[in-house]
Amino acid sequence: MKRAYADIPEGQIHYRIEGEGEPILLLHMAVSSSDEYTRVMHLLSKKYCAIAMDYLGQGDSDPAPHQYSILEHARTVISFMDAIGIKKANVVGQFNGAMIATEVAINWPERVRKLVIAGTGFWEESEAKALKEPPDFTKRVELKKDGSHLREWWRRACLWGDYPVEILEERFIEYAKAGPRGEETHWAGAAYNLKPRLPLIPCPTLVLDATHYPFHHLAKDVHKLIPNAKLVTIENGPMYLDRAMPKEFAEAILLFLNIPIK
Amino acid sequence: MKRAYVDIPEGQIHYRTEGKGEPLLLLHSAVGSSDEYSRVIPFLSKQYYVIAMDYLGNGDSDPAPFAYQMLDHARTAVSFMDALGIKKANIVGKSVGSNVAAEVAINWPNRVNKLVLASPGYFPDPSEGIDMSNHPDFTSFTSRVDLKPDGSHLLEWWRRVVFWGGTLDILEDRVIEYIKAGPRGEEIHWASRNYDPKNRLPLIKCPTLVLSGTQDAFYAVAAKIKGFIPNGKLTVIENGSIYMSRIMPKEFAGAILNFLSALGK
Repeated sequence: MKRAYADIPEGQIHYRIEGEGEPILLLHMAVSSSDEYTRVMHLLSKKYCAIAMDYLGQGDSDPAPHQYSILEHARTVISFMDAIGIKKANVVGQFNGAMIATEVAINWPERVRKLVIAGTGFWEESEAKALKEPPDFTKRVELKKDGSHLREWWRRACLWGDYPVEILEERFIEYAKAGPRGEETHWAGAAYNLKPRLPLIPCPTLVLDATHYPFHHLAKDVHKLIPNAKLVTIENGPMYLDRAMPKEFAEAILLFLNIPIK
Repeated sequence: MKRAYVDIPEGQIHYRTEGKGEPLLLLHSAVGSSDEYSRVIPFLSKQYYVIAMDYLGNGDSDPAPFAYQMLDHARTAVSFMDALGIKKANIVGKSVGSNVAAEVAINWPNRVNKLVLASPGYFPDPSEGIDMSNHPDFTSFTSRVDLKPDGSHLLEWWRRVVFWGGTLDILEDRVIEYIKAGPRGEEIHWASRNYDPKNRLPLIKCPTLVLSGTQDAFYAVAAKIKGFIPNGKLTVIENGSIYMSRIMPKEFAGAILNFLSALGK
């Protein structure tokens, strides 16, 4: 696997790339980076050219010029594809990345062959209002002289299940790299309304679900709203499925991409 | 300023670059990264093609295949120059990076034009009668830090960073370097302990600037280090500390530019 930078109008995008063939572009979750797909990419790259980018403001990419919405992140994805010369890709997104991937597929249908969205859900109108105040894992974290901001990022990295300390550390590093502005991607996700967007997805889509995903109970509803979708649920899959169960994650994607497009 | 990667036989080297002209290679301190020069580079890049690399195992470069010594890091710097097609450069090394820079100059003299050793140090023999009470006990900030499920390793890294002073944004830049280097990060401090500047620096042949600051923990030996080097000059920055590239970038860059333009054109 190689790491590299691509220049887009807003700055530099850091990405990881491995393998040859048809491209699979991987979009990460909120306050995260392309590192989350490292284990999965090793499996995908046997048959595909796997590419994972960091959004502006996350990982090792430049900061976003202002607080980006989901649509603006989607536009960045297209700029990135332009910069590295990819006309059309299979696009995989999880959690916030699933929202971004959805917008890429809807707004630039000629750029997406197939879509995989993992771990995503939506809220009913009444709940959406309640979510406008970010819950306590998405509040802005200020730097503190006593270093307690590091502890707070560590706490957030540890919120989503039991993982080996190495995985927690990888996750924490993503918080530290994103810094005080990191949570802006969570807020963008909270401000986004996925439900009316799902019926507009034009390409074949896999809804990738796991029984321990926070939105597991909504996976069937997401699946139903997409015109041409399949649903795969991974038993005992945790939130950090990509890092904890990369084989299951990659196999579900590979099986789906293999299905001929009618 | 752009960030980029280049491939060398041992893996990928991450670097920052800006400007055009004669190459000026910047080598960072222990458990550091090219980021420590981010504030200095804009001053240097008006006149030079500036390149700051991360060593293997530090910053965003690949891990080192084993615990590297100073000479191994120097070899990496030369591989890096090869990969970028740089035949000869002015080299600045800071703190432990000054040892790496010195080894490049000693072993590959045809690759180095002029050398700057910033914040260099060594631990003098008690018989030399130099008061080193300003320098903290080496073992108090260089032991291996293992990852802990309660996250306490982060506070230990923070402690090591706060130790040397600095504003909050500088401390944060610095702690991220510790976090990126991870549990193996201190290997480079240990390598510096195996290094003997007193016997190595006299082998430097090129024009060399020793750049120290009055608040540097090794300031007490700066003049002595200058004396080890056959063709050495000494510049002292008033109130300069170990973090002077971040705290006083203009003064730091000014001293380098002065030296590069003044000698042996």
